[in-house]
Amino acid sequence: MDEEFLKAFAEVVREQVVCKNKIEIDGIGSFYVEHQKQFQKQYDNGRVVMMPPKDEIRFIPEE
Amino acid sequence: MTIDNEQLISLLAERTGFDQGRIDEQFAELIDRIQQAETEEDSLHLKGFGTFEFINDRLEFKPADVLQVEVNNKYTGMKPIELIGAFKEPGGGDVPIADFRNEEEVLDYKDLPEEQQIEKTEPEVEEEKQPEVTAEVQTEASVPEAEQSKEGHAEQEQQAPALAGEASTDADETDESLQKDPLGKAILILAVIVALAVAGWMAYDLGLFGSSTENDTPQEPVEEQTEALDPSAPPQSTEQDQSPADNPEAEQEQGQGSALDASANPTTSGAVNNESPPSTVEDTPYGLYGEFNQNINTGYFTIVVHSLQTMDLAEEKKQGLASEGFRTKINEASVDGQTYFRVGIGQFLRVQDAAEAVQELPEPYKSNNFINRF
Repeated sequence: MDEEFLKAFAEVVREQVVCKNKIEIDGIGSFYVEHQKQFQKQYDNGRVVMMPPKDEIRFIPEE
Repeated sequence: MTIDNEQLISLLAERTGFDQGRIDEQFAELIDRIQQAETEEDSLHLKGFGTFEFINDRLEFKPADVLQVEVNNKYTGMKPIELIGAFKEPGGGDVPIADFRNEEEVLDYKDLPEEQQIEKTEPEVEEEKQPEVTAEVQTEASVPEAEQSKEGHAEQEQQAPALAGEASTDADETDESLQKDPLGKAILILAVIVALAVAGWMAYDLGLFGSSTENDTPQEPVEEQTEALDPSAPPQSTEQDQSPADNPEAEQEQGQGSALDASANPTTSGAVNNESPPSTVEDTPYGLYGEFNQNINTGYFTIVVHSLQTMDLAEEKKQGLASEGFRTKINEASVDGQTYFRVGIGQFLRVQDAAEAVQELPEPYKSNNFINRF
């Protein structure tokens, strides 16, 4: 595989994912970005914290 | 919007500048390599993108840090915020235990039980501070009372241990909580020290210890009494009586002859005193009454009852005192360039003897005098 091609592949997927586009690659799976809202998290000892929101990249392999 | 294979290949061709056939070839090779990683359980790492690996018969993708940060660009740097324990979710239901994929972030906070203990004990510390403030107020309030009486400093000394005892009682009550909170303990100790320091400073600065040194430098009462005793004196001679004890070393023995003359000629008596002084000359060379002992010219203590600016007034006072039977002596003292004629009574070897003799004196000399060394 060409190094330049791999670099371009990573960049293109990253750009499209950041733009909230879902990328479906036949034979591998799909990439997409999932937004996770902020939420409260309570620990067993009663401690409560507010977790910040975040965007995460997800990958679902092809069945 | 979904990007499929064709769109992705066109984007790649646009990015790399390769022709379509070469892109197809490279792309197929990449897919084969990823699938090969799946079958052979060999991970494929793409720099700046992530890692494809085979976990539990399932192809997983772990994004690289660079990719993760770039995707999460909007929220980068946001940290979990500590909430108060009583806070509930607005919906009223139980706060869900987060189903959290990045458990390591949560573990960072689970490992801090001590911090939570400190937070729990903080309200107790605030309650402990309250008695300290009232203790200081009590100290300040007690100072004027002590100021009024000469035994004030004794009262103050009694209050200071009481204050410390009060503080120690508070400390005992909250001892267990303090062991958990070293910061609160330090603050409490600091508050006690400050309270004691303020009490001590006020006791010293307001002259509550003056009773112990009163016989040494009671300057102002003598001045007032001097004015009161000399109504006929010219104003310029009575207004500026100053601290005679400031430079006791500078005082010189002078005017012995005048003292003798004065004692030999008891003519007028200004002071009204019905007490009959013992006229017997004591065996010891020192004493309050009798003739002035010429053998002791310097280095003796005497009780100064008049400090005047003119010799005539001093002589008059001296004769009045001599007629009452006191040993009298006029001493000239220079204070700040001003000459004062001090009329002293008695000769004493020690200042303690003079202090005892003061108690025998009639008023107003008893309360308006100072002991000086001639």
